[in-house]
Amino acid sequence: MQRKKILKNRKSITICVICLILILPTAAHAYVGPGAGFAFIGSFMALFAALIAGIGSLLIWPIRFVIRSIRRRKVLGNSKLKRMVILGLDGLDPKLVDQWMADGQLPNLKTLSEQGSYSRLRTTYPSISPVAWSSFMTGVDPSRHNIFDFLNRDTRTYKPKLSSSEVGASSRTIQVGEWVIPVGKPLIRNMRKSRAFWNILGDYGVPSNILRVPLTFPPEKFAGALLSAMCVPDLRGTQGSFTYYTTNAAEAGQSTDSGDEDGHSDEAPEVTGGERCLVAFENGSFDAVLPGPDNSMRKDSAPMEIPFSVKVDNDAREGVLKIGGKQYRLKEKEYSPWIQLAFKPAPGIKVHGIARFYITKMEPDFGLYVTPLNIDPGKPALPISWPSYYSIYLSKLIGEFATLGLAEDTWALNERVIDEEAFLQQTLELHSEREKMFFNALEKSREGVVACVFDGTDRLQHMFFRYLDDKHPANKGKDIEKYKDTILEMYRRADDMVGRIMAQLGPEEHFMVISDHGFESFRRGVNVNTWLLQNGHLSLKEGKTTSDEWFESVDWERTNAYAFGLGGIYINREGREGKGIVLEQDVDHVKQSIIQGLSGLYDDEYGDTAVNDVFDNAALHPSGPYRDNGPDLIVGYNRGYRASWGGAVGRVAAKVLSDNTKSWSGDHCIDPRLVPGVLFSNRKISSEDPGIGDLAPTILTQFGVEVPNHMTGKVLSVDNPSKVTEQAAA
Amino acid sequence: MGVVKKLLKNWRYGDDVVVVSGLPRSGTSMLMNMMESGGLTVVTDKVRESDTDNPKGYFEDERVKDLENDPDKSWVRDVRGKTIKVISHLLKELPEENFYKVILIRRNLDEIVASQNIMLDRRQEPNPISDEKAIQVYRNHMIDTKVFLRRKPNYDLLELHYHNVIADPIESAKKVDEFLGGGLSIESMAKVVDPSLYRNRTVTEN
Repeated sequence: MQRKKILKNRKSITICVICLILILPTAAHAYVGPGAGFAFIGSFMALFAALIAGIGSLLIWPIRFVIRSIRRRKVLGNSKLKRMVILGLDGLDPKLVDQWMADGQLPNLKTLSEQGSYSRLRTTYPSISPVAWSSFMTGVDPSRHNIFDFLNRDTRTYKPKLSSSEVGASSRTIQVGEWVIPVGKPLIRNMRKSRAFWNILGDYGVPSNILRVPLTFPPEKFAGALLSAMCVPDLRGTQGSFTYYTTNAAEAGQSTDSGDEDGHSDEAPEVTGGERCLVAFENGSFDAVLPGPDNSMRKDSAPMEIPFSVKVDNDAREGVLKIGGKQYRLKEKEYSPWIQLAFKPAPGIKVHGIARFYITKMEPDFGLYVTPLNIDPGKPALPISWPSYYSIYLSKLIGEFATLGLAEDTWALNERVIDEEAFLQQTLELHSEREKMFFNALEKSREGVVACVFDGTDRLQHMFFRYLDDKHPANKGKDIEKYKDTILEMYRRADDMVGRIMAQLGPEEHFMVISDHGFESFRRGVNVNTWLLQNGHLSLKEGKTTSDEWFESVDWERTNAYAFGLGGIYINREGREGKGIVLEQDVDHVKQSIIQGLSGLYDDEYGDTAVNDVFDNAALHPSGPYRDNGPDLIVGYNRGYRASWGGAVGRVAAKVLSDNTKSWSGDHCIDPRLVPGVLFSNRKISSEDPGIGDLAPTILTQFGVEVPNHMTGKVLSVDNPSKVTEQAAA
Repeated sequence: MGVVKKLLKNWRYGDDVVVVSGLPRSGTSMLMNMMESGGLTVVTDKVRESDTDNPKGYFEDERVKDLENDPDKSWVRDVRGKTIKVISHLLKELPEENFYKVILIRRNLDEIVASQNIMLDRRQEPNPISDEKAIQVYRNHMIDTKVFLRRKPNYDLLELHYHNVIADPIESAKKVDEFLGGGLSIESMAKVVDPSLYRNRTVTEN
């Protein structure tokens, strides 16, 4: 009787929940993942909303057209072109470009340089992609756009948080039994300040089509179309975590790095990139679950899972994957197509994602790699485009595509879950997707700005740079021949694309090829926290000689400074940091003490300077309102050096300097003077020392739009053909 | 510290040299008095006698002043197991062969400067720099001193604040006792702290 009563109660609660979901206008929004803040609605509702938005856009299009035309007339007289095309090739390095252009390997870039101009493009301090691309789009320095690194630290806890966006659950919920129904919108906030140039152009009726420019998540509303890029999360709310299934118990465990003599490692944290699951075959097949986001609609927030099975045929070197009621053939060492997945947090509600499956090996051990769970662009669980239906439109046009900000799974290669071949395949397929959407945009958007950033050049240089550096410690005992032309091939692919773009352009169009920074070999890691400890600026708790990640054993009451991220040192300031001790009037002295001590740090083992200079952020960026959100000091590592893996995540190791033996063998988070990017233009740019922050004001000026006062970049001098200017005005 | 590490340390360095340190007029003499009363042997040559500025004595050893210029620092070895006063700017001159338990006494810098001014006036000696500059120099010096002490493996550091010693001498004596491994007479240490000698307070103090 009691059991019947319990069952009846549960049934009532479930019915109640369903009713609430249907009745409350925003009840269908729910939030999953650890702080991921996904807003998702049933698949019908998603399509319905997109349809309504599309119809709405169509209905008010005449009004928008008139308004835009009025504004447009104001700038038309001053516009020097009809369309600007910007091709971003992340990390394209001028030294390699110079060498390969001279060798005849990059004929189209050479032609472009001769037609217009080619120069270095000064990067930002620090020389990290989110910082540099933010300066590209806003025309201001980091102290004005508020992005200094991928991560920022929570000043209260010293723990990391994403610097570019905040995604969090709704604060208003209704609890019904085990169910938690959100009734408010999630928090999704872009932390990048200052307006992007396309936003300003839109005010004047100049449209823009912006594809995968980093730091455009969440997307902003403007007169144009945009597909977000770095740092769109995966469905689990991370920046990309893979899942790996293996029959090898050791592989299913933690990292094999044994650490230093204290048992602490200067390697990256043991579990970095994903989930590892041990599986066992029975009659040639195994069952497993694919973990998805945490279900925040349940009180216990248990992760959602999708069960699947794989039946393997070792002779045929393939398997059959059964998931979501469908079957897919998996060939060894070949990626499956994007497979649609639906997680179900509550009755009638689905969260849609896509992933690819890849059998890494079959014998003697089996390995199955699953890419990070990307948000499905056709049924987005978070806003990843503007207008919201733009990603749906693209998915209808080119098929499913990667939406994750950092789509290429470098961690999987770094952790040796996949090999170079698998990573290369992945990167090239992602490049292909990007080309499709870019060339579609070129075809459809005949005026205004079309800009697209390609990440393959950056990712491949990160993971294959050792092949260009025969002295790299990561080469010890490894093949150095098979992939030695990988980077060159990527540059050639990019060059080929440049040729195809140029073939489409007319004289009234301005075409630029840019990169946000260059590249260097990353041979040695510098643990700045260890240096700070050894030089009295950082202290550990009693009895500790090293510390695990995120400053676990740091004694904050006796610590003046700490290193965090890819090149920043922060003074442990009283009133700013949660356990700060350095008074405001002492900050300069502590800074100077560190600058004097760390600048010129010498690597006795390799006989080279490890740190060229340490830059004072206050001197670099004296007046921006967000200056103090960034590091107090920026370390300018020399060529071959970078922040160590452990140091970047707040570990204190036994040694300051250590070899980098990871697959991630190239980097650019060093002295920015050593890694400028490139600037190619089909119209000669004659300004000396152009910087990436100069491009936004230059683009505005090209379209006849007044440059806002707050932009710190300068307008570059562009030789616009006079006939073209008249035509464009007409 | 583990037993093995302790044995290795003792084998290498012998008994600790206890160093009382701080800026001039920060309370180092008071602390030396406490140490002596607590049962430690203090190394002093009594050359500088007590006066108005330090009625209970200076507890100094003139040889300390020569640390900066005299390369022969072997005499410091004889201070093992004893206590000596070394003003903070001379800490870096101590020889590496010993292990130092440094008790650094801090005091509000404006009080220190005020106290120094009074002493200079009394002796009719000119004040070479402005109070503001002096405070800045001392501030930077104390940061550098702590950074120096933290990075040296043969130095242990205990920081005390002058105000706290005056306000609660028992608690401060307990901290010193614990830092030095116990065995001191805490009551005796606390008894010698005389609040009436807490002079030269500035009007800015709470």
